[in-house]
Amino acid sequence: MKINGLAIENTFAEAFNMKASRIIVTADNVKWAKNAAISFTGFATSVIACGVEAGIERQLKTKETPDGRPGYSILLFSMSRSQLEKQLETRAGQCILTCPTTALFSGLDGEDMIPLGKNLKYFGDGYQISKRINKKRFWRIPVMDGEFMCEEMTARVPAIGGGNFLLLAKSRSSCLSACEIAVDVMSNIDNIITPFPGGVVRSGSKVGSKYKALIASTNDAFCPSLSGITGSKLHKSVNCVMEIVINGLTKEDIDKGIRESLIAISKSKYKKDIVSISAGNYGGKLGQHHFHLRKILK
Amino acid sequence: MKPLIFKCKIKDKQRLDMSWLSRINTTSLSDIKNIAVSYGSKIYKISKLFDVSGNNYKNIIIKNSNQRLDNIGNNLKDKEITIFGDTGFGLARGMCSGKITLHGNTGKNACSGMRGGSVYILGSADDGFCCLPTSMNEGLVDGFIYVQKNVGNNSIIRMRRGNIVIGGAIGKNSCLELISGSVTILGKIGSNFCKNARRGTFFIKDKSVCKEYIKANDTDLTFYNFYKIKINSILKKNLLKSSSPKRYFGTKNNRQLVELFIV
Repeated sequence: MKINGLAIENTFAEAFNMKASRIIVTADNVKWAKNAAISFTGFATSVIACGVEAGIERQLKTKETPDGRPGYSILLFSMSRSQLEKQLETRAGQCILTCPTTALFSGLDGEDMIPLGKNLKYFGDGYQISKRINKKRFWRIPVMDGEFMCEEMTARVPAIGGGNFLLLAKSRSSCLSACEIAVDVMSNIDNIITPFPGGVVRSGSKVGSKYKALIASTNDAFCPSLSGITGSKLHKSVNCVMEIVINGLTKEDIDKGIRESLIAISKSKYKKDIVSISAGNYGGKLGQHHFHLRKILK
Repeated sequence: MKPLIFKCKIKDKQRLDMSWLSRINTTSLSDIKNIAVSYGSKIYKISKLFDVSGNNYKNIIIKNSNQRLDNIGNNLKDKEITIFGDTGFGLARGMCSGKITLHGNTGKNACSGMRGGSVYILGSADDGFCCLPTSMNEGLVDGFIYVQKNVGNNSIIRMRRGNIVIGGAIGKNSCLELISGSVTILGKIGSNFCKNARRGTFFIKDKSVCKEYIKANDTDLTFYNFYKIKINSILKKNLLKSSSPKRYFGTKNNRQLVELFIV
């Protein structure tokens, strides 16, 4: 199958059930809202070692935020409720409470609620003030630049993590440029994030390792440097592979992200250097969700 | 389903306890018409006192309401009541959830012991608004209340939480023993305001009450703008306009944590 001349392999991405939450960070200006958002989403690329996968969903206009200031919406994904709760509170306390002028709000409504500022309030040492408006509780915690305002709870919803596709390219520069186009497209789509640095991952992994202590190791079948000595899945002309991992609130959101980004790549000047588009899976037995590239692009 | 409409036919001077309104849970019009209520010294069917039509008991409209209809919305749960005309005492008393809109004035003890929901009084409220009900130690426990005009004396006593917006003035002895919550008063404030309060936030225009409070410095507070946006969007009016209100925090005498924004 080819889309505008871009070859799409007959394969699928394998993704997993996760739990997600959305928060909204605001500040006096975009710069400080972004500082807080970047800090919050740091070291949150993979649940393998980070505990949570997080990313900036999009920048919010002043009309979209609860306090009328510039802000960012952030999505967090985790395999378990307890990890999501723990990471959310820890990161909020260390990265947003500490960041000048910021405030923190829930970005999701639902029945399954988890603490956001519920425990952060104790930083106020008794001077914190509770305000309840429209059945939601907010905390005002005095800090040195004025006050940190924080919603008490946010919602936790079912979500999907690990949607992906692989770009098999003739050169590293073209591969990276094509990835950047895909990430730019996805940054404009609601309900999804690409949690890896700049949205791109170069160290795709397989399950297991020759070393017993490791649960994951390099995906040798997609490493161009090993193509002569392992059971490589790469064509001779492929000299670079990069992966884009997509987490989303629903399957439709991830479908949309994959479809629109691949169409954008297929219309770019880097298309000629892309040998094909593939996807990462574990044979279809581990993940609950399969994203068949050709079905998505039909 | 059509809204359940009660058009009041009462012309006598006896008062009518309307607390049965909150307990209606049938869509059968004949059942509703046959509800028996005590009026004066006799028992009447509802159809004798009101013209009744419609069947949606979750959405009730009262027409021709007057000051002799008491306890409308008493302990109300998950229903919407719209009232055209005035009401007697005890409007929304002990209300838990739902919405009441009153196109008129209300009598004494409105919203006392209210625990949730929202009440919009597009007129004035008499004395004892949000006061202590007989069986409770707290006045307003939660909910949102808007009074477009004025509020009488001895109002807002021992408020625990919730939000009250008063477009006009408030009488004397109001906001006593406030525990917490947010109150906006855009008109004049009577004497003996906010005595023995513990916490709570006021957004007021009447500067005469400020002398008992400690002037705070001009720190930028996220909360004011947030609250302003929330209240203005709930009421769809630009009621809170000031962008940098003066703030007072704590009383001079006993250092209680009451907060005043002069808007």
